[in-house]
Amino acid sequence: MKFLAKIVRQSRESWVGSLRLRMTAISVGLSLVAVAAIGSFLSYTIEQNLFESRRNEVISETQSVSDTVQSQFDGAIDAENAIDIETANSNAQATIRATTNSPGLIGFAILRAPDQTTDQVMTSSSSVGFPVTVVSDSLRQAIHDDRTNVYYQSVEVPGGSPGIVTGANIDVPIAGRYDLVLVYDLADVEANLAFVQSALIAGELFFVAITGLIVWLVTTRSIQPIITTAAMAERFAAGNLDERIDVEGTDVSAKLAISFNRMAESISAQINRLATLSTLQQQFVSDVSHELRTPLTTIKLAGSMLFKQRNTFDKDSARAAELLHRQIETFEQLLTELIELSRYDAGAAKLELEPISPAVLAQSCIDEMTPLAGSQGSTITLYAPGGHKPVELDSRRVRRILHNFLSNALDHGEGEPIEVWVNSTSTAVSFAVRDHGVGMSADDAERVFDRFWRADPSRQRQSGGTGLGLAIALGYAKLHGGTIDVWSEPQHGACFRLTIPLGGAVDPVSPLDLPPIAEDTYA
Amino acid sequence: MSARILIVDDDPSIGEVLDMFLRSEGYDTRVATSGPQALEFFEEYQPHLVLLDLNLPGIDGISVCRSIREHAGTPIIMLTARTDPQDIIHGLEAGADDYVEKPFNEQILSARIKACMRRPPSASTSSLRVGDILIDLRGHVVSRDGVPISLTPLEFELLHTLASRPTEVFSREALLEQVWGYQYKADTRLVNVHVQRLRSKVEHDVDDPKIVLTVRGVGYRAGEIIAA
Repeated sequence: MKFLAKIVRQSRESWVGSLRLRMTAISVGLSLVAVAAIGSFLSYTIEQNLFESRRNEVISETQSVSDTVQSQFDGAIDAENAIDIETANSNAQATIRATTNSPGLIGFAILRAPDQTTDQVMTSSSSVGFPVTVVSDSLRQAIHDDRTNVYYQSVEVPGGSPGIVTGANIDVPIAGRYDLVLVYDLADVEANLAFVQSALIAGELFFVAITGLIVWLVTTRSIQPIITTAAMAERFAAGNLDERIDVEGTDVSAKLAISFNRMAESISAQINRLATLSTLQQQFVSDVSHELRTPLTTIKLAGSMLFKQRNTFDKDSARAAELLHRQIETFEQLLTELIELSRYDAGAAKLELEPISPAVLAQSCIDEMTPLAGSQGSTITLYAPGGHKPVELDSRRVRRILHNFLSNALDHGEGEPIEVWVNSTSTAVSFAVRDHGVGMSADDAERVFDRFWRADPSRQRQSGGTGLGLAIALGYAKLHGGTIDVWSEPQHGACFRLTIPLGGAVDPVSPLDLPPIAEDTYA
Repeated sequence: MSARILIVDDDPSIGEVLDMFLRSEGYDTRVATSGPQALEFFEEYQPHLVLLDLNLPGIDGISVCRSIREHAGTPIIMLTARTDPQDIIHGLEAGADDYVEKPFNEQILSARIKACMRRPPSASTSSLRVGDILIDLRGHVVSRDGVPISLTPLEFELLHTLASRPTEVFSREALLEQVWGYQYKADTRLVNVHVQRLRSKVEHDVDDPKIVLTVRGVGYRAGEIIAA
């Protein structure tokens, strides 16, 4: 059943998919109908003609034979008005044999008509092998009713071929009325007809095939520009921006080619412009990065040294050193994140994939955050129902995302336990971080990925934060082809879930619920 | 006598502040501001460790690194402004042991320097075997069939760590911790590049390693001992 369904689907697809196939099938179908109608008509007419001419031939032969035999019998009466019946009979039979020349005669008989009383009786006689069974009463009755004409009936002769039986009245002097019956086999007519019909059918099929071929060629020829353009558009979409169509002639297909080329020209110009911009931006980010980091290195080291020696300063200078030290840290983090984000925006960020176990990766991120969690009285627990087998990930970037989730969970988690979840299927791997802290309103949850947006500006931030963390996390998730989903309820905490497709899956179902629900079996 | 550190950076203020900081940490230092000067000072000063900026006038940092590696295993820590992540890979491939990104934290720099300069504690056994390689722990020499193979101290340490527990699979993170002295540092490229460098020296066929084996998705382990 499945196999059948597959075939049906495939043929439906090629039916819908190929204009040529459709056109050809329709024209073949229509010409089949037309040819069948014409063929049937021709065949019928020919059949009628063949049989009719043969019947006429047979009838006229019977007529002439019966006339001859009749006159022979009439002439057999001698001067005493007597007749040698049996001699006349055998003479008549010889005459019949001599005068019939139509092909297919398989036998004849001179049968005594029933119910008559005469002075003499001539014995009914027939040729050897005469098929008595084909002579029906109705034929004999008809001969009896009209004694001047020849009667015929279509019959099936022994052997199964169509045949014709003719009969005519003979009045034998003194011996009374007799039926002259002739049986013809029409097998040769039937063979002729079969030959004509098969020739007809072969011709018809040939005609249909030629029609199909012609339509196929014509369609191919006329949709060739469309096929060319479609293939070109496909290659263009795949990134070959230099693809152009050769323009020939001035007809509508040339116009199509010209329009397509013009469109391709303008798109590739636009793309080149954007690519140049992007390259410029990447270069700029790179330069800014280098130019800012170099002095910042000095500033940072110098600031640290001042900070270390602050105890030897007067009160104001010591405070200044402290402020300097702390703000340099913030400034550095901001710079790092801005550069990361710019690299992503400029399309310069590239994945560095390596096989790594998601659960191991999550555990290592948790270990990293455990000291900070401990200082806030939070515990971080890993639940990994799956995700132990290594998968291809950019571990640095996934770590960065998890680090961000965990930092947020610690910042807003109110010291409640934090859960980290990992699970994977064949199509996706998912990480989720769940806290049970203050949570967010739905409006806030929608804005968390906005740059420099902070849930609550008045809140003390424990692990720092520039307001760019989630924007970067989302960028990294997208770099993997993945997504980040957020769940939150005020006073019930929040859950951030990263889902990364595996093996080229598109929009896979996340292996984790949002938020994941702890079951004892997972723990 | 305090350890000598050669600082190479084209930015004089970085050189100066690093000089100040490292002296305050008790090191003896010298500052070079160009590639040729770095090589000249390296010969003359015989440092125990080199802090090397990659972006140098004259001869670039990668070439300096390669020149030093041609005849010395002296630990090299790259200073990088990370204009391009590929720089780090190139630097490691040229022979740098480790790197720090500008702007670095002085504590991190200090920890990295200490990790690079520490010598492994004297071993309880005198030698280890891995594959058909003999590691002489006292003499710090690695040899195959009596022919010594020249390894940098870091490569020696990496091979030693793997060979010391031949049945164990080391994750990249574990190696970062044990060989480089990192804690929670996540750049596993450091391990990958050095394993490649080590293999190029000790393996018969780099594409079919027998000494340092990859355990896919987990890390590395030492190969089976092959009786000589």
